[in-house]
Amino acid sequence: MTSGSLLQALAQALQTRTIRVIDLTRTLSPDFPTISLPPELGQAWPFRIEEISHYDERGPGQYWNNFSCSEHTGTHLDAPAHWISGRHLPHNTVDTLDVQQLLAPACVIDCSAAAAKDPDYLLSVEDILAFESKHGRIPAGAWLLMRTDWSKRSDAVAYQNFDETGQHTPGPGTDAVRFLVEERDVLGFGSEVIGTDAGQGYHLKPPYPCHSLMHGAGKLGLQCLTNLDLLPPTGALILTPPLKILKGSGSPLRVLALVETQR
Amino acid sequence: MNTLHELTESIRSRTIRVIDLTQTLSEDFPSLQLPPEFGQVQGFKRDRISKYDEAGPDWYWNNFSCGEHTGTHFDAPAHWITGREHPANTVDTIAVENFLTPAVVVDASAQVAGDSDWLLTRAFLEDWEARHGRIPARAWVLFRTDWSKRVNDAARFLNTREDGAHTPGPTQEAIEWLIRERDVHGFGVETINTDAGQSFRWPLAYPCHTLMHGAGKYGLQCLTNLDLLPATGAVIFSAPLKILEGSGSPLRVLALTELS
Repeated sequence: MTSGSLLQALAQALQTRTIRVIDLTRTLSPDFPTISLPPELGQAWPFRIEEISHYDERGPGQYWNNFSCSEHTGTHLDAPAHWISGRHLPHNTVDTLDVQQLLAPACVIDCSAAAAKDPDYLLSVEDILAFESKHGRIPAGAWLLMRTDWSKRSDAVAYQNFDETGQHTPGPGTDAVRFLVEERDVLGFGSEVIGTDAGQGYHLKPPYPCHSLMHGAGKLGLQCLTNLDLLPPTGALILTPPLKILKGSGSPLRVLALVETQR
Repeated sequence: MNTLHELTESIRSRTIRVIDLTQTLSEDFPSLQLPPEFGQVQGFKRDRISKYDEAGPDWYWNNFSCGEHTGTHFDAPAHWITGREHPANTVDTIAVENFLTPAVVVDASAQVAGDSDWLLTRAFLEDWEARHGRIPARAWVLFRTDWSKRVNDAARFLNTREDGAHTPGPTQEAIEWLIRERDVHGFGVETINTDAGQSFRWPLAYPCHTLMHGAGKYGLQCLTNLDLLPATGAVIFSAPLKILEGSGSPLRVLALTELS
């Protein structure tokens, strides 16, 4: 029998709320917008729910539902196998990822002011270096979360932000992605929008650099996050447990953050 | 060094180990069968969208469908009629602090190996406490039976005969004691049902569902790797999907354990 002192301290800190738990997850409902691709491509299902019984003749004592969606519906995680660049990597699907990585520190870069002015805003290497000069170096194995306050766009049209030229949502520039992968060895990149790449990321070189370079390096993605404005720039621990879907390319999931409260 | 920083470092250096208590979700995973007059929970099914092909040249992804109670899953109080009036009784409204909680593991694998209808009693729990100490308030009680090792044989995992399923579970008295005397967080099992397979015949049918959810407590089903956990000291991370008004959810259950 072991009774670990650190885990005991954790349990106690959770109980006394000196460590707070923050939910970074959007509610999964049929109203949540789903990524939409050109019609010639395969489409992700939106979230649908169907009642099995609700304390009625179909099940007098029970309430429960069946549901359907895609591996990339709602707040979700992208595994390396989601992209062709990650297809041959070991442990590249949600069932084989190292579970130790599913709890990792996060750095939160606040781009909310820039994204408010420019929906096509691209996170740059300069932004990252400016963040580091204030908050210290991004540690290897940490999530880089891009705060844009995009999650506050409660209307689905404004959230998706399409016009005749395509989607206009913020994301990282190619150089920033390369820097995070090669110079900082991050665990992955997380975003409040429906793609880890900018809406216009198809026009970057390579197209969709965050998908292409991150997954090609075995790194992860998180999309449709919320409440990033409640996180400190550094010091949060992020819990990202995807469903254990056999050979799954990704998964909707509950993302929680642990933060130490100021005393 | 503050606790959170120390935790982060210990996870990174693996002095805290993360253990996966989740069964793989696949079309082969057995699902619960109810009598035909009732609504049925779906097994896991999936439909490929693309795999680096003409439907999506650079990407691989799938659509899927299942029940809120398919695979390793979480039961919220609203799953049962006794929990319907509780506030915050669905997976989207339960306070998130409840998803990171200490656990004790009660090992009855030897008993269950000899009797698939074996029942966990208050006396067995009191004997466990004599060896491991009192079950702390707000802790998960995880019932280790090694039933998860049957998962590759659906017939043995469900263990259904003409008279119903034969799987282990707690007695009504044990559940009443865990709720009233120990104020546990919930009850977790390796089988597909927090209740014993034959409990539908009891004077109070399905006591674990009825009483636990009636007390606003939670359930975890189809767990695995409980044999890798210490009897006390693990912290369980069990956060369901945030399904609007969801009665439960498949989820990834992880345990944190400290190397001594």
